[in-house]
Amino acid sequence: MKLLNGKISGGYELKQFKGQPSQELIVQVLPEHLYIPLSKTDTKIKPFVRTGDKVSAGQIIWQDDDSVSSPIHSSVNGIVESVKKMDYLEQQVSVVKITSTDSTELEKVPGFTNDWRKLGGKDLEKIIYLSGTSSLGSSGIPTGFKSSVIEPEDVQHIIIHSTDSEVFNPDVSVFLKDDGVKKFTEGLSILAKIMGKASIHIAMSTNTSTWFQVIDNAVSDNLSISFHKTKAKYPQSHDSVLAKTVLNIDIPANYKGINKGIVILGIQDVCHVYEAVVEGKPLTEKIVALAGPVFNDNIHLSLKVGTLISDISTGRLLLEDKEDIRFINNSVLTGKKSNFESPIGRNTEVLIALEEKRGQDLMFFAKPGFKKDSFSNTFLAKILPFKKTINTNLNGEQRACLSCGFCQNVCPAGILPNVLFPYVERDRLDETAVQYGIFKCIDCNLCTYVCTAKIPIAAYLKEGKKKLLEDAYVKEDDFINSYNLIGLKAGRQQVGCSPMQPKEQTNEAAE
Amino acid sequence: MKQQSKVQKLIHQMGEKKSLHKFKSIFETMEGIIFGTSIVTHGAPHIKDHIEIKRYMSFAIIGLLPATAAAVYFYGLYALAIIMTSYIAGGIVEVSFAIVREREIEEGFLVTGLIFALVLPPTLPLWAVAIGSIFGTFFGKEIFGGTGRNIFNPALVGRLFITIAFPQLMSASWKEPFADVITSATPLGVFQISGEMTPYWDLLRGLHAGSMGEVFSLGIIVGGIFLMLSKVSNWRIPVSYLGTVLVFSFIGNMISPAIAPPVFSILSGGLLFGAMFMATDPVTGPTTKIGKYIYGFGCGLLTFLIRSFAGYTEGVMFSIIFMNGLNPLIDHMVLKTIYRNNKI
Repeated sequence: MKLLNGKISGGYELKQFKGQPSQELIVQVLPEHLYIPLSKTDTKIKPFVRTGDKVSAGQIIWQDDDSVSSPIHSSVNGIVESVKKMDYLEQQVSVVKITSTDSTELEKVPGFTNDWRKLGGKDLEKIIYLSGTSSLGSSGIPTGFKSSVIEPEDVQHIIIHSTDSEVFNPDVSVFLKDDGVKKFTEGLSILAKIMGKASIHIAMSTNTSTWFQVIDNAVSDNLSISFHKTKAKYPQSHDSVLAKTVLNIDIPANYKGINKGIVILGIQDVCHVYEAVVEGKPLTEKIVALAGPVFNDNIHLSLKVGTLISDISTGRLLLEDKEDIRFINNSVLTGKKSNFESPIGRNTEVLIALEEKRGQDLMFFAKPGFKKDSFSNTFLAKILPFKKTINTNLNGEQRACLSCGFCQNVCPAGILPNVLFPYVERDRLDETAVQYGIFKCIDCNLCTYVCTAKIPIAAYLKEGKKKLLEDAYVKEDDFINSYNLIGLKAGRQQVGCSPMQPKEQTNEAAE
Repeated sequence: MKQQSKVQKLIHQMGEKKSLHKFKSIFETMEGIIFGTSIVTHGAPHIKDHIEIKRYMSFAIIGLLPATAAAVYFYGLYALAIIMTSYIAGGIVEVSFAIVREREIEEGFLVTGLIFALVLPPTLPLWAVAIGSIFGTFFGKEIFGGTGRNIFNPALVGRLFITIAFPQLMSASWKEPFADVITSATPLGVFQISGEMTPYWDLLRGLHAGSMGEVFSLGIIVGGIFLMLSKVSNWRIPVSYLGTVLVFSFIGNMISPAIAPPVFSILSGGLLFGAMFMATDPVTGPTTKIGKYIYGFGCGLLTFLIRSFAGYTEGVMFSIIFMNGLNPLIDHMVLKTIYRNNKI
């Protein structure tokens, strides 16, 4: 077993917050209605089905072979109630509402087989594409069917990660226990067959790296994997940080691993590949971790894609007033908000519920802070083992920058956020900001998190990058040429995000 | 807004009243201090660190406590009177600016007001304290736009002003702890005149003449280390500042015995206090890490030069204030150097 240590520069350990998902896995009862999100705001997106149509579980209800995308399936047997725009991940998205019947039969993906080793690469690609599994990961799994911006033969590296670097992380053992390891390693072999040139890397945090041996034992002999132990430091799971720590490859900030031929997937994603190819399961089910102190039980939930948050949360919340709860997808630092009426889509792995804390905290600055997280060492929580509280309060008022330097110390890109943000704030953007590395910023939002003066630094930097591109201080070709980027012809307008439901990387504009 | 107590509502309503409109910022400050903020994050990042400026400044004050307590212990209630005068006089300036600007009162003043008092001679008349505090807050901070925007350390600006305006008062107000006699010589002064050195142990425990907060070296070291460990102050500046003085006075003392030896240089005068609490002021120091070393080195070199070769016995105040002015340039040069090859 080849074991390597990945070193992240900067970053911050977001640990010991209340509401970590436990190992328990529960199957969610099938709700009456499901709401399947189709895609982004693009108005041209029309489903194959109309109101009143009968659909079966696993039937493709949307597919577009011309754009970079993967098919979307109905997750239940039932009748299409309506197709309308709904709030989904802070955007208005076309959603197909399906009223389910009781039948649990599932339409299998054509061509699946237990004996997949006999299939050619193209056949495997087709199964993965038709199952919708190719939409997973940070920018999709390349197949010959435009499921990602590059082709399978362009892939140089595959990184599978479970870095525990977010505030709340799914528990790996939920996916790997019992026959999970077999599914995972077989899935890896399938991916290796499709992307023949790619080397395979598994990056896991030091807490979970005991799984390395288990995986290494289960993996078939002709597959060579390098294992990387990483620190559970945020933002280890971001594309550019993974590429840097695991492969020592630089990815410019506005781009994804895929633009350097790196496919980045989670553990669950690989298991889905196995289920599609061997069991013929289309991507209609997900395991979602319920995290955050507002859930009364932090479990993992196996649910159908399109289940509403209100269906999941019935009886599972500690707060009654809807106004007091904020639902967040995947990441507390970069994730998008959902509300009670939003569905769970294919790319949600952790659903976080936090309290919108607008209440008072008497003389908060004078308290010892047994449960208060801080980058500085000014709260006792730093040395005491209590679980830390977490809510959406700003914990202070905005002030002028003190130059305390915390943002520099945590910045994973090694830039000086406190030097850069005034260029945007005072509208003095020019080459200097570019020279000082504003385009190295990876939008991890850590600077905004640690800021003593509560300045939305990351939002300023994001705005600055946008303006610099608009004003042509920097051109996209500069990045493409100096970093040898690929996969940008297919969707040039889609710089910085995968075309299919990207993992959330965006941030709110300055307040 | 919900979950508010009656008191909070009352304070909030007072601030909203038309007749008290001018003082809105003061009520807002009170609300902020007592009840914390009711604002929630707008979007990602959905959570925020618990550190904020009130906590940050409170820690700076905790770091100053040993020195402050020693000042009151050594010099009695008059020391307390100096501290109160400094707070009240500077506070009036601060509050008036908050009212005029319609912004909340800035927390930085809590530290400035205390530091200013601690760098004064223990017998300075209160009217001089008040003038210095007002001048420092006004010209050192408010005219630049308040905490976070000032170029020079406001406490030092005030100290510099009264040093220049009232030289007699400033040079003849020294007193040894518990003593009734006013002397005109601090250990540095005595050394310069007679070459006689106060014992290290006396310097450490504060039994010598000097500015009231600067004599208790042991407490300053403890407070300074506490601040560095809590990340409120950056270790790079004190380390490079004190290190530079140490090295230069070591070499200097070998060449000429008229130059103070290293440990004596560190423990006497305002060096420890300046290095731990004033040079580390994040607002008026450089922001780059390399810049911090250069800044500390510059402060150290200037302190050494002024103490050894200039007419003044003490050089800490001048060197920090001079380096304050230089620090935008230091940062600029450092940034231009580290990013010289960076295109995108």
